Amino acid sequence: MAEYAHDVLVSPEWVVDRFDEIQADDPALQLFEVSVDTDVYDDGHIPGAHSLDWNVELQDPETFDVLTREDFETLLGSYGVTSETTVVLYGDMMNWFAAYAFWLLKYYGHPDVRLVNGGRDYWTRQSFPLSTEQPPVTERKYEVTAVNDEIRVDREIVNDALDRDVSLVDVRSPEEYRGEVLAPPGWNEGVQRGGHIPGAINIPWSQAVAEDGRFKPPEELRHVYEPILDSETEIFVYCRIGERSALAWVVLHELLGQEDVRHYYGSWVEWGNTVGAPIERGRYATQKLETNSMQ
Amino acid sequence: MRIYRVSTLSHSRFPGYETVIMREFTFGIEYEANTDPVMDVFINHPEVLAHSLDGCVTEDHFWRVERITGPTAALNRIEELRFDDSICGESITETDCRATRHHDVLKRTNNERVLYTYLEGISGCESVHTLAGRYLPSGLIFETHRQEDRHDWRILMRSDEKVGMLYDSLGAALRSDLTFRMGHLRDAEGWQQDTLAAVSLPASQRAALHAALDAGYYETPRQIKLDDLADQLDMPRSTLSYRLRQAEAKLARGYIGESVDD
Repeated sequence: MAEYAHDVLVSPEWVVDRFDEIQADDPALQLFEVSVDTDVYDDGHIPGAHSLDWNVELQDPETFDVLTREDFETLLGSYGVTSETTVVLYGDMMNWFAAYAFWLLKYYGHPDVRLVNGGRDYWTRQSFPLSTEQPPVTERKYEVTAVNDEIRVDREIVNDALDRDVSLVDVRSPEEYRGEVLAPPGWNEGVQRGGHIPGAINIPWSQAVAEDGRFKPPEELRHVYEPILDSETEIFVYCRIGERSALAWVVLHELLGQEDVRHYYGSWVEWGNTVGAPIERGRYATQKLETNSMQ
Repeated sequence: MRIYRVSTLSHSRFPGYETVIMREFTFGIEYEANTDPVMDVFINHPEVLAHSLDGCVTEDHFWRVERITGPTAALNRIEELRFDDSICGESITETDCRATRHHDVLKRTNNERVLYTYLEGISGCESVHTLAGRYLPSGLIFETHRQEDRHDWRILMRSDEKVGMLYDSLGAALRSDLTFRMGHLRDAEGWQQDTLAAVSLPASQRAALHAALDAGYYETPRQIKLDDLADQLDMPRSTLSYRLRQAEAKLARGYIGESVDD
């Protein structure tokens, strides 16, 4: 079987083999749960894992942007992470928010970040051990040396790119892509206009993941992303609030080894609410049609 | 964050009682043919209708009472599928659910079947029940309606705090030949208002009724005479009259609750 481009996925067995280091507050290895449903950590987590609250800790509530560099350094330092630490992440819902944390760490230049393949759901379904104990933590100093700007893209650049040959990938659900759903129920993320960025193709994020929650093997991933892999162009990924597209970024950049993949953090919440930003709607999800015709 | 509101008329005189305003989340799932054997019966027999009331016991246990009306052959087929343990009929993902299944027939006539279902120990798949049971508070009620390629859901819950996770996990879990259609999220109001929708009319009678309603035949005074409507529909007056009377009789019996057996 072909390998993933970069060695960023670890198996549950890999984690089990390192339980001693993980639980000993070893600065070389730190484990974090980043779940969409932040309550589940208290019900039981991988022994030695700390919980990161995406809502409070991984975004700036004032600016609605990623954490500032200073806040990022403070956050990681408070959990005993240094720039030499291997940071291992996992979460619920197919690692959706864990992948966002992965991207954020890469954005701030952290060298060694891993994702537990399958995330929380696979771990619990396979009956790997859980703990309700809060692991000990020693505060350490964390320093960001370089911000990895080339993996992020802002609205102005996306707007300029509309005239260029750039592959835009919308990873939201087909009904959000087509503009049928404006305000997803239960999320405080309504937008004024439905649809998608002109020219974007719809490849829902969940297509990257197999039913057991683990990433699909490389050849299947290549098939899912086929419409954009053949061209040499840059790839921009976006979703609703810029978290699910981080998972697509991980797949394209880390697992498939695409070099020019950039994550549009502002995503649809920003674009759909921007006066004058062009939108397209109603077009059927191309990818879905293709998937169906294969069966 | 607590989204549910305690009513101002809460039963403060009775410690331990709390009145919550129920919330409802509605959506539909559309099935392509040959992707779910139970839904295939509805697709192949457009006159078959089903209404169900379901409850989650826990994330992997639920019960359902489903009333299905339609032609006998279709009802027999659904009953046969429900009692066949190798047929899932619940999963919305690629693989079938593993579960211990219990079924019983509470009512069986030529045109109506009421089936009781209880599934326990569900694993290996996701269904609407398992996802809702995972993210929403206990005590959920589901009202569902099936007709043709569509299964509509109304989930009543004490709190919608995590309904966004249900929405996103539904979207992520749906296999590729199923399509999600958003309904609404709001305060729950009303109960089984559409009992008449459970009345099964043959397609020809339903079409006649539709045309009559659209043309104002049921307005007072009538906006159109039967002869003119028959002309418009290009059918003999007697045929139109017969179809309307048959449909009206079925609706009347269905409303009063009398059996609608022919």
